[in-house]
Amino acid sequence: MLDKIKKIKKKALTELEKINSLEILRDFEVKFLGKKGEITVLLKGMGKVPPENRKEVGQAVNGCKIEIRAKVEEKEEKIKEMIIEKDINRKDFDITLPSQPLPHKKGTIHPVVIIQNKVEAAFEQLGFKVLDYFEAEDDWHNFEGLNIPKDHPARDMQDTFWLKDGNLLRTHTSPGQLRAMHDYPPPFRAIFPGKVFRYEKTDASHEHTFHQVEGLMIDKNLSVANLIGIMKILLEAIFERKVDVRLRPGFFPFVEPGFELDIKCMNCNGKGCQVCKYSGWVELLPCGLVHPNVIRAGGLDPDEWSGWAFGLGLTRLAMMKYKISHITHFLGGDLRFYRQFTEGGLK
Amino acid sequence: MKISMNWIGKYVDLNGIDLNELSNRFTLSVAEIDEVIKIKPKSSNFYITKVDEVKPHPNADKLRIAVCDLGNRSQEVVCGAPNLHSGMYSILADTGAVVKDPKGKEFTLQETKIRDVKSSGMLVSPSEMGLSLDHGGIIELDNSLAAGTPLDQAVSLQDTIWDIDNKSLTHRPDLWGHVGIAREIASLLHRDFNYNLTKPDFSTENPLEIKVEAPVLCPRYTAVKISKIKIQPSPLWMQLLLFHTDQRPINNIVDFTNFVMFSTRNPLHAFDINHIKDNKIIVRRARPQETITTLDGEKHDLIGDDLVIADNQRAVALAGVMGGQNSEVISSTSEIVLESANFKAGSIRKTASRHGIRTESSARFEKSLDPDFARQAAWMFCELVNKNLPDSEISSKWYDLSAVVDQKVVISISCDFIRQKLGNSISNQKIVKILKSLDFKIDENGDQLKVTVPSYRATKDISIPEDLVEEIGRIFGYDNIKPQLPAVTMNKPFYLPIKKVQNLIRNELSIELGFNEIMTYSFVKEDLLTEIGEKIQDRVALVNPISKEEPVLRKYLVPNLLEAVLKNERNEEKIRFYELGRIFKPEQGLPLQPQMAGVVIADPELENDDEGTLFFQMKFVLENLFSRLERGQVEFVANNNFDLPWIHPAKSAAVIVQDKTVGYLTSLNPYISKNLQIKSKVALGILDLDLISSLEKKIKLFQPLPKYPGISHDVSIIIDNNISRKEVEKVLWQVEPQLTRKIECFDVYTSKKLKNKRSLSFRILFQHPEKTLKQKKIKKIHQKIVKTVKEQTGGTILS
Ligand SMILES: [Zn+2]
Repeated sequence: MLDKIKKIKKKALTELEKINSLEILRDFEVKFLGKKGEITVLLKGMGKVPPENRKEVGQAVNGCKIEIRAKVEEKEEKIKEMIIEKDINRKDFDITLPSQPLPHKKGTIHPVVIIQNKVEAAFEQLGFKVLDYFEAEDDWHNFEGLNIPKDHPARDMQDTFWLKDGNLLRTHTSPGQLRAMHDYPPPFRAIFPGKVFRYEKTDASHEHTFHQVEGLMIDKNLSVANLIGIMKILLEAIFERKVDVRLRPGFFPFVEPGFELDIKCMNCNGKGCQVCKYSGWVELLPCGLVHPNVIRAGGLDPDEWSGWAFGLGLTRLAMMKYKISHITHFLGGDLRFYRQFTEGGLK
Repeated sequence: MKISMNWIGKYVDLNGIDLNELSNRFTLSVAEIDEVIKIKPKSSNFYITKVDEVKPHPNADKLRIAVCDLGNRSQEVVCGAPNLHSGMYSILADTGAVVKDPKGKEFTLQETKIRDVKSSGMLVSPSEMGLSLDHGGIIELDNSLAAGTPLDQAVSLQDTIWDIDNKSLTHRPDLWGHVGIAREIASLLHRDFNYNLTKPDFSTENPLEIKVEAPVLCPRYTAVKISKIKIQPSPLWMQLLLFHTDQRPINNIVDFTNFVMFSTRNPLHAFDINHIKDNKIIVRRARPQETITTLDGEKHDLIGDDLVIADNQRAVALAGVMGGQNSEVISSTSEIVLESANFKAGSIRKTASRHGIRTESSARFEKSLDPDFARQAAWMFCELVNKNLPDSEISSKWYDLSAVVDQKVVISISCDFIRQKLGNSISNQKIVKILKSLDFKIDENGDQLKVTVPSYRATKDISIPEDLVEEIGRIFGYDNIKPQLPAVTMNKPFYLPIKKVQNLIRNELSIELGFNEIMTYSFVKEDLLTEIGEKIQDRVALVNPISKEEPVLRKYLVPNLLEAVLKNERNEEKIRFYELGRIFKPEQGLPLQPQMAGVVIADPELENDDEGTLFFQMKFVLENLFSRLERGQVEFVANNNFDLPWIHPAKSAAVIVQDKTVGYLTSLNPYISKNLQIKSKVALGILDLDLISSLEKKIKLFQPLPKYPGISHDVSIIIDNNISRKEVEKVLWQVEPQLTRKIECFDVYTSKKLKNKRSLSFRILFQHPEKTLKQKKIKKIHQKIVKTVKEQTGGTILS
């Protein structure tokens, strides 16, 4: 019996040595270790072994099995490695062969982009430029130049991701105000959408990365009445329905006067419901006349030029529109989420 | 912050005012009210009582029997409260009164027996009265109301409370107390604002020694000594106001300091003078290794930037933040020093955050309070003591150490400027009236106004004409301003090239080619990079990453895209997605932040992709993209110079447009699949969109339509694997360049039989500009093709 085991083992190892493909390795496994494999059969034949030898023979068979199993695994790794090596070193792959069309499938645009496209289209019709600015910013553009000096409490409210090179991830799209004033001669009007970052832990309704769009208009003699007028027609274009707005005082260092703009709750038409916390109004966006210090920081004379600005949360708008409960889906990478938003298209 | 309308009523008459309307008006003109809470307790059958005697309960150790004086009668009730004692004043709820059980459920008291002792009514705790959740003991009162007085006759129990969002008050230090809110309300209602304090009589005995060693951090320090104090409960009206604004009454001195702070906005601190060594108070920076144990029992190690109040030996308070345990007012205190001071906002903010203590006091000081509030608070406190503790004595002069320079903020402004900024024709008269109602002093000269800002608005709130525009606008009411579209100059049409490129790519991928647009974070995980074989060095690193696992910004889109493949491959069959976004590369000044596109095709079911199906699908995608982008012909060139671990050395190509490498496509390197345990076969297409959009625009011109029909001719060529399709095609073009219009490779056949060769099938379109081609001519050309191909490539043509 022990001889037989030795013989089988030797045979197996010799065969294994020659194997150079995964298919043959599978066959080998079946042949030796499978249900009817040679080694399995040996184990089944244990009954015939005299009781005094059983222990010794049993150990030998099991040892043999374990050894061969280990060698098979080793071999498998080797073959896989070999396949990979062969694959990445192949010389016969002709990249100039014709391309192959993709089978038809329905694609989707990211929900924030669907909303962003709507917003951009509305503003473009009124002659706003759509601009795009950096996500990593310096302290001056994100704070100092926006009238938020070093020890200003507003810096606490906007917990910031700081970079080791001394820069930061912008906490709002407002740095674009300074960059746009620098890049384009007045008068002009522009919006700049993009990613913004706040240093905070994430949960269903908080996310450290989200999307905003900032709007800026620089002209002579702009007034609060202008701001209300434009915001109203733009929001009507975005929501594609009549919108009632109201302004409340709101404090943001880069505007003066500053406002919170509320819209009449679209869920209940102002009658009061859970969405609007029974007030009839929903807080939508901060806005205001650009602070003279900011106009000055943008390189313009505040006695000559005036401006108004607003910041609108695109992520929040998308959540409102599609009633999305978890903000972390937007950047979560799960295709089951993105595939749900089939709207949007050519802009 | 909770604001009580009863409390406001002390300073402005609210009679006949619709409080709902007022709260709306306040939200639109001043600050957002989160919630309006109406307090309407059922108050009949409650009485002020004096406990004449406390007797043991015959059947229970923890219960006692209180003999309660109700004026014209006496009543015995069973009581388990630990603070029950004879001589105390409290509130008795008689039978028929509605009280709350520990779960807040209301029930009507009935005569009952508790452990066989008859009990008529009960002495109530704040929670049983519905005033707070506190049921640690029964309410204790001072003796200002006679026993037997029905509660609803003694005080107004109904109140309306506003819960104001603190965040909307950060820029208005003057609104952090009832006096400030009341002034705004008076202005909104056009009613008088009644807030007058009289200077108390300060004696000159009992000198204190006060020294301010850090005047920059403490612009004003006032102190006064008050003797013969008796610590006892504060009066019922005050306790109610404190309860209604979420404060817990403690004793008269503590309650007075709180009441004054919630009125005047200035925090106060009372020290027990017995614990102040040598009657000496020094305001100084903390010394090296100095520590203090604050009232909450926490011990703090101080640094030189912390301001402390100290006696001759040690710190007795962390200035403006919290008092020290060592000098706390306790029940036996009979003599106090009252501190009413002003501290520098920035320093308080830093100390509070450094030691992790945020108190009502620090929250106020860090908003930059008006130094005059310190005077108002000291005077109001003395008035309360005089009124409520007739035996007490103000026993020192009023020490007032002020480093405040009385600098008035005066703003020159024209009414026209205000009208222009608001876009409204509000009259001069109305403008002046609004400013005056807000306590601004006006020097009028026709349209020109010289406006003196009240000190409490000048600390950081109001300094420029635009600030005054806001004052007029909000009180006038923004809803009274008619929306008006501006007259604007026409602008040149404009678009940003990068936006155009992104939009074209989106449409092609999402609308035409069936891709899902995704977005991933701008951060990348360190362990993901490690598994890919990338180091985190040479990346833009965060000082404060959201987690230790994501310490750097992404330098490439690919790692996050591969993570998305891993996330989705279990739920999906054919995966196609893309992301458009910025990546970050270290650079002097700001990091480089190019806009990139990352396109992914992945197939979790594909066993092997030796044929490169996904690669050639990706090539199809890129060809389609560039046919839209108006940047000219795209070329794909094999390139071994990419030094990126996910690139497959054999199955990859550079994407070249206008002789510039604008990206690459590749099958995923199998080692990366193995390390990340990605079971899908994956192809990646990566483009630098900033680079592409910077390229010159190229328009593909019109080709005249052919006049004569052409003939398609198919050839299949058996050729060595290492001669590319492109080279073969080039040779085919040379055969009859005048007549060849189009060559298309429509089939590739490989087989083991062909060994190192394969068959490429081409369809060639021949066309003559001036005549119809004959089959005979094509036959001739075919001979030529067979010859040329054989000579130049070694390939043989079947047929
Ligand atoms: Zn509603």
